Amino acid sequence: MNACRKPIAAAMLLLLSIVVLTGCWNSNELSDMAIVVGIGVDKDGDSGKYRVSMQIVNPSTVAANKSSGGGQNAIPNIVYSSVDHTLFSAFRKTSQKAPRRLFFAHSQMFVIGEPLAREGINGLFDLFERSRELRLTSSVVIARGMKAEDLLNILTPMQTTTATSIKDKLEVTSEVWAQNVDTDVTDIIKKVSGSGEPAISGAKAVGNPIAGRKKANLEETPPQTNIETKGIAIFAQGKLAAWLDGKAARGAVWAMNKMKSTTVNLDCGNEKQAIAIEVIRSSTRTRVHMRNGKPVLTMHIKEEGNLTETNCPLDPSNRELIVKLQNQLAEATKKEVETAIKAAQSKKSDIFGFSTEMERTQPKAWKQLEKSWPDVFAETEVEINVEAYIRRTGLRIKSYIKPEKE
Amino acid sequence: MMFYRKAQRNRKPSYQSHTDAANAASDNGGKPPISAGLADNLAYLRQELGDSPDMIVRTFEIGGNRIPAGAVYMDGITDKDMVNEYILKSLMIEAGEAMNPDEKPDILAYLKANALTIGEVHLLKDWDCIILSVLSGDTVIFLDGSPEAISGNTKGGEQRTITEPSTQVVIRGPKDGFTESIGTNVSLVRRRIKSSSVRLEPFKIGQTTKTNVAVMYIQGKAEDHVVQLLRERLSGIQIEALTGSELLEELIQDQKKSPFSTLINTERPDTVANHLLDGRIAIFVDGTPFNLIAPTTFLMNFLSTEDYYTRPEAVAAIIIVRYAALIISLFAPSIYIAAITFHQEMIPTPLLLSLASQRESVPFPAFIEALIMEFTFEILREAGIRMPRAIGQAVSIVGALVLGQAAVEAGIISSAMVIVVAITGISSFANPSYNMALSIRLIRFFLMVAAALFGFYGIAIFSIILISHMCSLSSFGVPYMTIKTPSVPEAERKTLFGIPLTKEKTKPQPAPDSGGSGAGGNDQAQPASAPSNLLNESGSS
Repeated sequence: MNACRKPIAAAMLLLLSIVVLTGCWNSNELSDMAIVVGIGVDKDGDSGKYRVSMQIVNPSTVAANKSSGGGQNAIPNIVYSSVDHTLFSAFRKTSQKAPRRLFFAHSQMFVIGEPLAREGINGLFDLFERSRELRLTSSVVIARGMKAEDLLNILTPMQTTTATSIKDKLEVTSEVWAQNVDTDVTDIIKKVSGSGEPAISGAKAVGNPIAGRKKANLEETPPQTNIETKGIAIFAQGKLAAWLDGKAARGAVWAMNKMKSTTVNLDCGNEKQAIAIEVIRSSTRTRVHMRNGKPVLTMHIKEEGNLTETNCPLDPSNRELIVKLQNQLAEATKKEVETAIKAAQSKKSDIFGFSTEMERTQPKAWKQLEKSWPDVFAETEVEINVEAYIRRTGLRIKSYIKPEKE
Repeated sequence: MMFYRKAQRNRKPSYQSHTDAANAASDNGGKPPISAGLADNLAYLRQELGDSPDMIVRTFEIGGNRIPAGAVYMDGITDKDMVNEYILKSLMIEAGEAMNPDEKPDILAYLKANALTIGEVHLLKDWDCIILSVLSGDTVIFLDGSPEAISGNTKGGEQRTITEPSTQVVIRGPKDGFTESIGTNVSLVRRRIKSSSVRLEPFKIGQTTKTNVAVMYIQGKAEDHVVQLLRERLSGIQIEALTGSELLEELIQDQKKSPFSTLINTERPDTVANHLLDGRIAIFVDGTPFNLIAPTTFLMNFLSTEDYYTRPEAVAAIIIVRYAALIISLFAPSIYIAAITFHQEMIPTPLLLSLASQRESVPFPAFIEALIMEFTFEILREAGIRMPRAIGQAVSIVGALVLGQAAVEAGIISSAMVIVVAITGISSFANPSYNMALSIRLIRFFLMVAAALFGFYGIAIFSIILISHMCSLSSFGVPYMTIKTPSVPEAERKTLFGIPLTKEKTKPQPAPDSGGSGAGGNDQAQPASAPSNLLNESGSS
């Protein structure tokens, strides 16, 4: 019995030693890592290289950890930049500047400088798909009218890092105001690899970006320099073509079926924009038909909203009035979507995913139109139907505002 | 003393007349036969017990014939009132009055039948039985001219009274707990199940200690093969001393090398009663209030006595909490180590930043930090158990302050690690089974090493090994991970029992012919049952 046990024991020991000899493969202590929360890319002058900026959190400033020594006076985040031909080599090159190993898995924000975006962004995202360090769920914004590095350098109150600040703003505003879209890297890659074009929100500095680098920016209200999300950039052939702002941007969100909630102001008789309707649910269905050899797009929007405010005397118990408001809402929505589609068509930028729909439902026609799709798209007729409902009128039925006596 | 090795083979043990036993063993003892002379016998007994001062010898004369007689008993383990009232008084006064001085019959038999007004009396024919009898608390009477002796059961003396169990406290439920006396313990269970199917089988284990062990089960509920297996294992034990149920547990479990205990122990008679009614077997060991239950499955460790007295809905919810506590106490430190040294990308960003900020000033790798903390916690726990209660509190205060506050403030330990160690420690106390908690304590360290080497991969591998091991365990043939016992089909049972039985090393011989040729065929066989009923000392105390 022992005779046959010994070789087995020896073999087990050998196997076990293999296990131990490999050491702590891939093990990294937290205190040896620099956590990158945001990445910015700019073009570096005319050298054809990328200037990559990495925003790193200074962990000692995050929690109220008074014992960890002097953390309270440090700035919450630091940006290091490196210049190289590829993003990845720039990442690694930054090790010359950063005191710790850069850790990219928590990078939430990818900021592209507008000058670079105007030259084309299609080549930027391969690294995201290929690398195990980066996340495909990182949000993407365009630093509007400025370099990404300058945007990341602005210190923002309330949030530890600029990157999380932009990310959180983008998330919330795209849900409640819907004049921006929270686009992540996957969305862009999907659009770029098909025949569509990405739509990316913009973020811009309000105030002096250079002053925003100082810690003093955190010690004043309102902050001297702030970052706000503004507009949606539309692309043509991978290059930034135009900005959609305000209602046009919201129309684009509607057309892309990304509407979650927003607020639409409607006229109340002669009083302009006196009634606020909060859209709480909306879905957009796009269909492509062929008519006379040409594609025709039908867009059906179904939305539901609540009456949330009125500045004029109104009796919502009146059914006819509600129907009227519903029609007004449908009309307003239709107008916004039309604006957005016209703007996109003028730039030949199919951000709405029409090409995908076309390819899916009309594969034969698509084969013929595929090559000239941007031009076809610009000419395509779009029919928009809006079905609007007002479901609730809030906690109050009839407003306390009395009609003016005439 | 050799006969203990072969005792009880192939045969259901039972209370047997001591005479058979004496006959069977008389030719192997190496001791002289009992002399006919009283003085010789008493002198021999004195010599055998090393002239012990607590051995009391009372010589007297019986009846009109003035037959010299001697009563021998041990001071302290006998009930003196009984000795005086029912042995000495009966023999010295009443027997003399009743006995016809002309007759010369077998006086011992006559006395046994007519004079001794005591419940349990035996005729002893060899020294082994006599010595064991005296040491068990019986009074042994020698008569001049008789190569035999009579023992009367006078067991008694000081015992701990029945108190509330200290380790298994219930809020609602009976408050009595086992004592160190096996007789009391058996009676506590008997009182709860007044059924004629309750079976009690005695064993004596330990060549020196001769500890009484009793197996109790309900015939018809407990599975026969499990009872048989237990019997065989108990009779196969050769050990010098059995001082508690822990040792017995080690001797009769199926797999020796395992951190898991495949027998649970309890201090509560109502728990034992409940398990007996569920078809399990109780093993009582004299000298400890902790008695064993077999067979035990993994899930039984999560049952607390309280569960029998609580609404089932609440119990179901509480048991889930216990499972969660088990998982936390097993995995919490290793998952923490793996997450912050390997899988930082899995931690939500705000949490990671918070952890990173705490770890900024910590000079140790996470694994070392965890080891320091876990080890300190173990020291604290160990110190807390050993310390007298008054000092124990001081220890825990110092420990908590040093660990929780000072270490974190000094920046040596991160507060997250203190939280992890604390939740781990508390969770390990949530488990009703102390044995299980101990195993978990041990395994936790291996898991931590696995986590420090390979992260979640290591934890997964180790868990697979652990679960495979647990699935390989069995308790008296019942798989340890069985959901409900007993539910093993016949065919599987054969494979399960067949192999361990034949490979059982502690057993001198396998038992192919169960039942037929009994112990009578083996001249060394001796039943483990005592010369007198060992279990009824409670009756006299």
